[in-house]
Amino acid sequence: MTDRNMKEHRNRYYAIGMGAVLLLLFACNLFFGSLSIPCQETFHILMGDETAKESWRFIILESRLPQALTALLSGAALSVSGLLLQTTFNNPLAGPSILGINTGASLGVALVMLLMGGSIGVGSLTFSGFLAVLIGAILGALCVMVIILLFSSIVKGTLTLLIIGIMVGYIASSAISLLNFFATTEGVYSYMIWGLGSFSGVSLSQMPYFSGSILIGLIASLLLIKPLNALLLGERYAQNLGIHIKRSRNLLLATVGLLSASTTAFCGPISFIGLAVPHIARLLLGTSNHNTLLPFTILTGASVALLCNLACSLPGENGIIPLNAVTPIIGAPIIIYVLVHQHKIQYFN
Amino acid sequence: MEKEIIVSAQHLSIGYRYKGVSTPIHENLDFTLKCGELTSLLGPNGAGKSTLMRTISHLQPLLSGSITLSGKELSSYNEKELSRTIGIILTDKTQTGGLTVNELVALGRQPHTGFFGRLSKQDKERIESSIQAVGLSSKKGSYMAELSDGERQKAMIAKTLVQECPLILLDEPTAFLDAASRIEITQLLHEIAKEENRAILLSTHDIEQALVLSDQIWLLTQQGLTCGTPEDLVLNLQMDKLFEGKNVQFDKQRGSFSPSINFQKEIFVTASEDSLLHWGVNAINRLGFGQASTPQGHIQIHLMDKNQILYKGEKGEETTLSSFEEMTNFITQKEK
Repeated sequence: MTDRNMKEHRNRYYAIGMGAVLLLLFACNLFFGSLSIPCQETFHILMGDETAKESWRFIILESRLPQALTALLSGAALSVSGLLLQTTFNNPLAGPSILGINTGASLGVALVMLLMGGSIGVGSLTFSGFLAVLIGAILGALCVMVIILLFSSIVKGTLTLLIIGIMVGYIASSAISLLNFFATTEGVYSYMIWGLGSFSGVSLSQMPYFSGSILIGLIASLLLIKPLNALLLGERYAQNLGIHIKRSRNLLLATVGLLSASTTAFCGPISFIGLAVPHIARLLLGTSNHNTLLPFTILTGASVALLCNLACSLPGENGIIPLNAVTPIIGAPIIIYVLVHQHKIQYFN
Repeated sequence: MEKEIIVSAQHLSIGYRYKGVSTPIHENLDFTLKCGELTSLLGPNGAGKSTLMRTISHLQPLLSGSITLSGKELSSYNEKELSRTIGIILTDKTQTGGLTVNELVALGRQPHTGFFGRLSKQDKERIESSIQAVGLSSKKGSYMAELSDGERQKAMIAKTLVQECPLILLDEPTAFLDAASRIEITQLLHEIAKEENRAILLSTHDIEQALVLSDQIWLLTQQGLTCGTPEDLVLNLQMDKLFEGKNVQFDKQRGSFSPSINFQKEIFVTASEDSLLHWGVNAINRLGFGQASTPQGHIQIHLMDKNQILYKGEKGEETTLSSFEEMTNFITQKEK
């Protein structure tokens, strides 16, 4: 009993700690950016001071705030997608970018953009435009997931499935390149920019729709904790525990589709967060039990994304580092660490 | 008191159905499983043990005939009811290394918990007592990854116990275990069957263990299914069916299979006690000699003690040997 209590205490401690880190990073994202604004001024602006300098007010409320919110939501969404995929495919190296799901979503976005008039870019979208892009991204992501799912019943090895995912991703990116070939120069340029990844793609007016779809996905994932835990035993055991396998898996994949497609549509195909964060969360918390792991993954994912966003603005007034240049620096070493130490890490055995 | 029958099958045909074409592996199987009994399913590889287990656990549809589970047709069960009636242990790979024993066993409670899987006080008590029943109380806070293979299997058994199913099916539960854990696990299952009045069916290649601890033995061969108590099957020479056509024979004295060799020569062996005789015959068999029924015209070996062996040649010459090693070397030398 004491053993379990101690573990629960420690988990609570970690959760509170990660929550504090999240708040701190969120504040940092509001106070620091490529343009330096005095902290006192930032504080006043956030408190609703109307007298502050108009350009600073605009930067903080129209740029930094939505960007921080986007980072928070996207980080959580991608990380949860990764966790859901890792459990569903019984494969700790699954993730939305590695299995080609992000690329599938990108293809959907590219198709919608081309059909809607050529240029790929989501900066100034109406609600119907937003919906079209989102549906395109979800359909693209779902297509890839169905393909992966079909293969997962044919091939047995975990590595084989990952390689098939990578191949499917390549095919999708070829299709995108072909689409770009027929697109206008501006279209190609904006697609390239989008492909570098950024949390600045969601404006404050789009925020309700964006956050709405992410929150629906996150809530859905929390409702799927019971089947997720059963799936740790594998499909046949889960079925024996009364889990409706087909229905649960479809719900899980639909949730992953919604989460990773919404982020990909607006922030570009962001790599490594979905793959690495579930590992960070498991290593810190020391459990595969989704009751605690899933909420903790949400907190960790949001924090990591906020940290990445902060790192992007490090050059100050000299410009912004692309997001996809930062995420591998944080993500790849973690994956390498996990692979090298897999014999010592509990959840791998 | 008559034991309650939980599973009964009539004219059961099992196998695969692909695009409407049935490929039966076995037809016309009839069997029953009773509560409180441990039944071991034996059979050579490819005889259809797993297919039979999967069919009984409803993971695979039957081709024809019927299976009745607790008085109800198996096909009429829904998933929820099944999860409370049949508990299974498979050889599937799991991702449970990062769960504690407690958390793993708690998963077995899922058929009884609500949408969010929250555990009531009764659920927790049931988990606690099941962990105790398999003897893992001291390890309940340990990660699954930290357990030995035998302990992992015990945790899985505890998981099946909290499921509170009257029927437990285990597919080769002792396959990856060392000899001591194998005996321990089979013994544990035997106790559970008896004390908790469950029907347990396990498939295994461990014939010796199965004969010692099972209440019923099922022999599944290409010819079909033979059921009975271990003793009846052994003494009615049914065990030889298991590997018909293979170069092995069943030794009903020892309860195990051994290579069948037609010995060219024989040695007459006597011994002061049974275990000496057993190992003496074992040694001469290995050297290529059968056991002669009379001393006349044969080499004789008298095992007075494990360190005192009298060798008598065909011409009556006598040698005293002080160990089995000396004896085997001596016979080999002589044969040259």
